[in-house]
Amino acid sequence: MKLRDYILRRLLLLIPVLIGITFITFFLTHNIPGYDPATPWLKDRTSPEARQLIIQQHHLDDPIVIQYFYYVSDLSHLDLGLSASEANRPVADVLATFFPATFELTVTSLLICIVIGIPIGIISAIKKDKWPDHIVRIFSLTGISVPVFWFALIMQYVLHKEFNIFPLGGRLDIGTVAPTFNIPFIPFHSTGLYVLDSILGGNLETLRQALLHLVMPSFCLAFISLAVVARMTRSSMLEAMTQDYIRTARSKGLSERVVIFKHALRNALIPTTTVVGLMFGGLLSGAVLTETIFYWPGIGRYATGAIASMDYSSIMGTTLLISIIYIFSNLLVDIIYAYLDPRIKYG
Amino acid sequence: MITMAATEAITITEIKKKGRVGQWLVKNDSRIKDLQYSIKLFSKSPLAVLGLFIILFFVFVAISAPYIAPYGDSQRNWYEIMKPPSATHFFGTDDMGGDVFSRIIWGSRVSLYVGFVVVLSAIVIGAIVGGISGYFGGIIDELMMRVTDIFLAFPYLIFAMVICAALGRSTQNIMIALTITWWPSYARIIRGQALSIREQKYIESAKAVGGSDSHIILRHLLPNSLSPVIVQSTMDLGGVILTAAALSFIGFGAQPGAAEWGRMVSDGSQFMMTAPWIVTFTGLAILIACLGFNLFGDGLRDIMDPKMRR
Repeated sequence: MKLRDYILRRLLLLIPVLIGITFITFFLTHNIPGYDPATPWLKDRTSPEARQLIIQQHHLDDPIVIQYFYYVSDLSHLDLGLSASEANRPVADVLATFFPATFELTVTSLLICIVIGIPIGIISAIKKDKWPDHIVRIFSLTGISVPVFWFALIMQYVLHKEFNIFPLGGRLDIGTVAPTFNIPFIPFHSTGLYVLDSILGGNLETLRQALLHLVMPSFCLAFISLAVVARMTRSSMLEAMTQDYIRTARSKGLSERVVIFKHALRNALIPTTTVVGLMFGGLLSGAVLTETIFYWPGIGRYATGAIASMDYSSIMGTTLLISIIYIFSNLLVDIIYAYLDPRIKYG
Repeated sequence: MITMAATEAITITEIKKKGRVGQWLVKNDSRIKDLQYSIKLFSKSPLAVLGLFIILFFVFVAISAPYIAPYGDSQRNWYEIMKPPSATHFFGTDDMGGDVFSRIIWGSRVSLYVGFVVVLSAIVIGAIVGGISGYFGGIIDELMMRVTDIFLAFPYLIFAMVICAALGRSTQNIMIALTITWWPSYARIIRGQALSIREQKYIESAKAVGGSDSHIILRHLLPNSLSPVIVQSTMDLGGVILTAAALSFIGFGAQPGAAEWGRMVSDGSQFMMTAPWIVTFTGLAILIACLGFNLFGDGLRDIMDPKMRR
């Protein structure tokens, strides 16, 4: 199968999955006893008659299946509804303001995983069954066993209260204005990624603050995935080291360093790439806990608030966004995988 | 020829002499040898043995909680509020004068119970979906796997939160929510196994002697696809306990004040700066319990790995 056909097939398969996801969340959130579906449109002094009119206008008294069709037709022109928990702003707008914070956090965590996880995985594989390997093994098994919320609280206690190195939470110190930049020919003045914005705007103080605020949440979020990357690198390195081409390389008289880094590592990194790619979606989901504890104004925190107050449009919007990102990153990973390893056939 | 017939006759009578147990032992001889070899491999891995001991320890603590916990699960002492660890309160007391040590012991019951129930129910659902899907193939397989894909594409923590919020906040609903989010991975594993097993000769012969589909699935397909499921489920027990604790930490599970690990960390987090022992010890209990399951599961995976068995 050609690459184009493969991507097309995968994109087509996406449609039933997305329909399924919206369908399930819609039914879960629209059958809550004791929640008034008209909430997003109600003001303090909305009269019962006006409320009735709102319900009719927005088809809130129609059967749930009909309501679902209205939702999907709104969705087709990117109207995600109004968010009751965010002062009735359109959900799409709210997501656009919160997403950069989550993106910044997730990408930083991903970088931490790669920069630390891959080297310790390599060390572990080279020193197989010696003490560095055992330490890495215990470390990575501990990594997947740590309750993230607990780890975050301990970090806050030690690094903020005891040593006061890092700030407790948030993205910037209280009172600091979000950084902007002014570059000719670029129509917007901020991306919402504070680190990038302060670099572009040349604002060193904000950059320092943004980086300091990033350290604890991103480490906390990265911790579990770090363990996974290290383990994956270790096992694929070990797998690669047993291959015939390694024996050939050694018998050619190449130095051990060249064998490990040029021959084994290059091949071992292919499965690791997959794991890292798949992790992105998982990190987005994991951000829910980290963002809640570190007061990080991202979509995870937004989702938690929305779920707590059963703000259904927001719940559906965030679930849909995260699922789409997850599915697309999976697709991207498969394409990259096939590119890196020509033995893979599209099927 | 005569001698051969004679020896055969002798072995058969010997087997019969041993009674039903003896017959069973002879019939399952290869399986028993296999198990013995597995135990030998297992005992050579110190980390896996450590994991098993941790699991057994927590199971013991959970079962015997009424006998070993110094205080009751909701027993309060208003004169002993937020006291640091001491000889009378090993892990200190919480903001309502409850003994943290005892509450951790009581909490182990909830966590282990949630873990076992969720993983077992997920395996049952996964086995039904995966077994049918892999055995029949074709359009049934395609349909069932698309449904599984939908569940896999959900951000699992958010999905579980939504289910908990929709059903109401309780430990029971956490179990339902986690089962709904956990079964797809088992369906995938079992389907994969079923796809390769259904091509085996013994399935063909079972069909030839007139075995019904349900008989083949239940007696041949599922039992033979169990080993990856066992490994996965051991590791998952840790994961389920972690996620259940996380859900009740953000407020979707037990009521405030309940002796449940996630809830205790959540209740204690307000006093993190003045009474850090509440959160620290409770979190350590979660960490060690999960570590036990992960160490054990990791060891099992190595044993089941055909490369190790040679």
